[in-house]
Amino acid sequence: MNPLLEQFLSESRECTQGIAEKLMQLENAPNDQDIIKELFRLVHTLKGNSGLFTYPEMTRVLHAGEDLLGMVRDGKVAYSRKLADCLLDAMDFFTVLCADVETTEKIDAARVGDSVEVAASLRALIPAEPKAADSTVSNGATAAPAMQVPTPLPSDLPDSIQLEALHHFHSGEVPQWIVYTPARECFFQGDDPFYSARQTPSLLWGTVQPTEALPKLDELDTFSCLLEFHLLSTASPEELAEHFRYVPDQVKINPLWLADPQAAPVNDHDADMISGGLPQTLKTHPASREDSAALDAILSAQQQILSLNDHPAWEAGRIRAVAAVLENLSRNTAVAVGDAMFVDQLQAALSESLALQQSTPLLKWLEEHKQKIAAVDEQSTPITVPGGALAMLAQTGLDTEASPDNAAGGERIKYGRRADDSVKFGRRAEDSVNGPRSLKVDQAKVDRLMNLIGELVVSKNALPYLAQRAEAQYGVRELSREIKGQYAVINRIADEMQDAIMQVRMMAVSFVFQRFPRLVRDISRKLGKEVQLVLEGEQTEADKNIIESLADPLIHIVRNSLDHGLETPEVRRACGKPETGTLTIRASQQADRVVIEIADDGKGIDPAIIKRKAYEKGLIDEAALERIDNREAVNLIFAAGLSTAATISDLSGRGVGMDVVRSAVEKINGTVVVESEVGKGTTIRISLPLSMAVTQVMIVESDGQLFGVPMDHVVETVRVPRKAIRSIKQSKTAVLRGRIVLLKPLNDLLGITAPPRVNEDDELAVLLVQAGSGVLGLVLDGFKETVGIIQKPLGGFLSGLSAYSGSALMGDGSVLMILNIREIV
Amino acid sequence: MPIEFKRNRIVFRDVVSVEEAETLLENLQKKPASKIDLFACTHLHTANLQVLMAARPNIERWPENPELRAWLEGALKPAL
Repeated sequence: MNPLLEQFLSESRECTQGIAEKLMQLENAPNDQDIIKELFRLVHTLKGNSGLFTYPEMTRVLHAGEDLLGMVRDGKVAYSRKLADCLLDAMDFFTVLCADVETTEKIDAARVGDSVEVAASLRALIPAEPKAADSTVSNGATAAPAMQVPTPLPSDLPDSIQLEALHHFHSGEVPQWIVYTPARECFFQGDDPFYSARQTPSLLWGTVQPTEALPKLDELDTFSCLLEFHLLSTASPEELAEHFRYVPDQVKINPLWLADPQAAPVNDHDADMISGGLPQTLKTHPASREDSAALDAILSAQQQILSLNDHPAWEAGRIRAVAAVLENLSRNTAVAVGDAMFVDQLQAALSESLALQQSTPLLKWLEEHKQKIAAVDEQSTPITVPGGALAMLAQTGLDTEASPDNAAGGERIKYGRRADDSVKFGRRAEDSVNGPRSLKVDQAKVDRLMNLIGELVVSKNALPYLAQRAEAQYGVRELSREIKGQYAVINRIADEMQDAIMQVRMMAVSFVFQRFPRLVRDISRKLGKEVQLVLEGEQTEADKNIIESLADPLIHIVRNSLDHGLETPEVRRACGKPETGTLTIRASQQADRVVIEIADDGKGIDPAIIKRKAYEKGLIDEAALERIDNREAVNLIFAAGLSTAATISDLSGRGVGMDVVRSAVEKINGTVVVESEVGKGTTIRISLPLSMAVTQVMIVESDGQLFGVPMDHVVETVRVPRKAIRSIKQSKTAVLRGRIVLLKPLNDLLGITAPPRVNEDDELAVLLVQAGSGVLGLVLDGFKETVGIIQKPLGGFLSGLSAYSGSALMGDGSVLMILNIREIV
Repeated sequence: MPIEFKRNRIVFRDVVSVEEAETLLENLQKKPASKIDLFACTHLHTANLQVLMAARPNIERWPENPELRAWLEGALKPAL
C-alpha cells in the first residue's frame, strides 16, 4: 500500500470519528453553527482526499454529504434526527469502503449501487432547487437504479437481436437492458460516452439517439451532450455496474424479464411494427405438451397456496402474489378471448380476498377459470401483446408485488431492494473494528516523557560520583565496583530510552519540503522565471519542533533565491547558462546535526555591493569595510536592515528577510551561513541540532567556577603564549592561523576581578567562539570535558540574567550555568 | 490528422477525438453538402457523433469496422 493511501485511511478514520462525534453533539445543540461548520469542514476534507484516489463510490457519497451539510450550514435545510441518521449511515458506509480499501486496495463493484443509494438518500434531504443548474446533481438526487421503470424497448430492435436475446434468455442468461443518459456536461469531465457504450461488456446490441430533437446545425452546442444510449448486454449486472462505475447515476440497468418465454418474434413483421407505438403482433409457438403440463402445475400450485388455511401475517402479500401470477397467465387468455371482464373479475376477486383477509374469493375465481386459461394456451392462437412486445415483458423479476392499481398497466418494477428499504451499513458497537495502527498523542505527553528521561539521565550521572565516594570516602572498593556495574546497565537502558523518545518526536523534513514545489512554481511564474526545483534527502529526520520552526526561514530563503538569485531566462541565456535555473534544497544528517542547503545557480551575491550597502546603512564602520573578506561580507546579508534589492517588491526587499531567518534559526540553536560566487550562484547552509532536548556543552573553568559553552559556538581551543598577545588600543589581540583575533578575558565579561591564570608554560587558555559573523577569543583558566546536558531556562529572579542562556544539573548535583555567548561579547 | 477536410469531402481516420468536434461542426455549417468518408475510422468521440447526427450528412463510405458501422448506421441512416 502506498504511503499516500495509508495516510488517507488513517486520516479518514479520524475524520469519520470526528464526524460521528460532531453529529452526536449536534443532537444536543441542533443550532450550533460552529459544530455544523466543523462537520462541513470534516466532510469536505474527506471528500477532497478521496478524490485523490480512484474510488468514485467514496467521493460520490461524500459529495452528497458535503452538499447536504452545505445546505444545513447555509440554513437552507434544518437539522433533523433523520438527517443525522442518514449522515451516520453514510459514514458507516464510508467506513465499510475504507475497510475494503484497506484489505484489498479496491472497492467491490457491487458497492456502486449501494453508494448511489446512499448518495441519493442524502440528496433526498436536500430540497429540490427550483432550477436545476447542475443536471448531474439533480440526476443523482432523483435517479437510483432501485426505482427505475424499464423504458419501452425501441421498436427498431432488429429481429435477429430479439431472437438472440430470447436465445440467451432461454439458456439462463438474463439480458440486461441499459439506458445510458450521459450528463450534458460530460465532455468536460473527459467522458466519451460513445466509447463507454461501445466497450460495454458482452454487448448484444446498442443504439444511440438524441434525448430531445437535436437543434439545427447553427445552434448546436458541440460540447453539450444530448445523446442517449440504449444497450442490450448479456453481462451480469455486477459487470455492468463495474463498467459504468463512474457514471452510475446516468445509467439504468434492468434485467429483461420475459413474461411469456415462449414468445418469439414473427419473421414477417410489417411496417407498423417499425413505426412503433402500435401493438406488435407476436405469435406463440404451439404450446407443447410439456408447456401445458407446466401450466397445469403452476395453476395447481396457486390453487394449493390459496387453499392453505394458516392465515399468516403476510397473507395479504401472498394473495397478491398469487393474483399477479394469475393475471400474467390470464392476460393472454383475456386478449385471445376478447373478454375484458376476465381480468376485471380477477381484480374484483383479489380486492374481495384482501378485504376479507381470506383467499376464498380468489380461489373460487381460479376454479372457475382454470380450464379456460389452460385451454387457451393449448390452442395456438395468435396473441396480440399490447405495447412494444418485449418492453412489456421486460420486467424485473424480484419484486412480484402486484397491487390492484398497477397490475393492469404493467407492474411498477423495482430491482433489488425496495425503495423504502433503506440500506443499512450499520456498524454495531460490538462489531470489531480494525484498530488504527498509529497513535495520536498529545505533544505535551511526549514532552513530559522527554523531561522525565532528562531527569533520569542526570540522576543516572550521579552514580559514578557515588561509586567514587564509596571508594574514596568509605574505602569499600567492592561496592564501588558494583555501583559502576549497575551504572553501566542503567546507562545503556536510559540511552536507549532517550533515543526511543526522540524517535517519537522525529519528523521527516518532507513535512516542510512538500510545500515548495507549489511555492516555487507560483513565484517563478509571477516573476517570469524558469525554475527547476530539486529536492533531496526528504527523508532526513529531526525533532518536530526543529522541523516546524524551519518552515518560515526556508520559505524566506527560497523566495529570496527566486527573486534575487535566479535571473530571468533572457539574462541567463546572455550569460551562457541554461534558461531554466535550478534551485536545490537538500537535507542531510551530519553527525548530530541536520544540514539543509538551499542552492541556486543564479547570479550570486556581489560582496562589494553588500559591503557598500552595509556601510551606507551604518551596519559596519569604515575600518570593517576594508577589513572583512568576501566571505564575511556576503554573510552580512543576515544583518538587520540590509536589503540588496533596488526596489521593494511584494516578495522581498524590505530588509527584514534574512535577518528574520537568522534569528529564527538561532532560536533553535542553529547556524546559518551563506556562500556565494558571483555569476555562479548562492548556497545558504542551515545547520540545526537534531533535537533541542540535549545540548552539547563544553565545560570551561574561570576563577574556580565552571561554566558551560554550547558546542555550537565553539570553534577551537588554543593555548596562547602570553608573549604573543598584543595590545591594540584598549583591546588585546593575537594572531591565530594568520588572522587577528580579538581576545576578551571571560572574567572581565562576567565582572569577575581576578585576572586569567596562566599555566606553567606561561600560556593562556583561549576558547575561540563564533560570535555573530566573527570569531572571538575568550580567555579562560582551563578547559574541561564536553557533556550532553538538558538545558533548563532560568526562572524567577535569575530570568533577568541575559549572560546565561540557562542552567543544567550535573551528575554530582552541582548546577552548571550555560553562557549566552552572543549576549556577553 | 484524424480528420481531413477536403473540398467537398470529410475524411475520418483512426480515432477522432473531442477536439475535432468544433472544427467538424464549423465545416459542416459552412458546407452542409459535404460527403463523409468514415472508412478508416475506428472510433469517433461522442461529440463528433452528435454533430453528425445533427447534420445528417451524406455518408459516402461507412467504417470498415463492422461493429462501429452497425452503431453508426443505426444512428445516421435516414429513418425509413
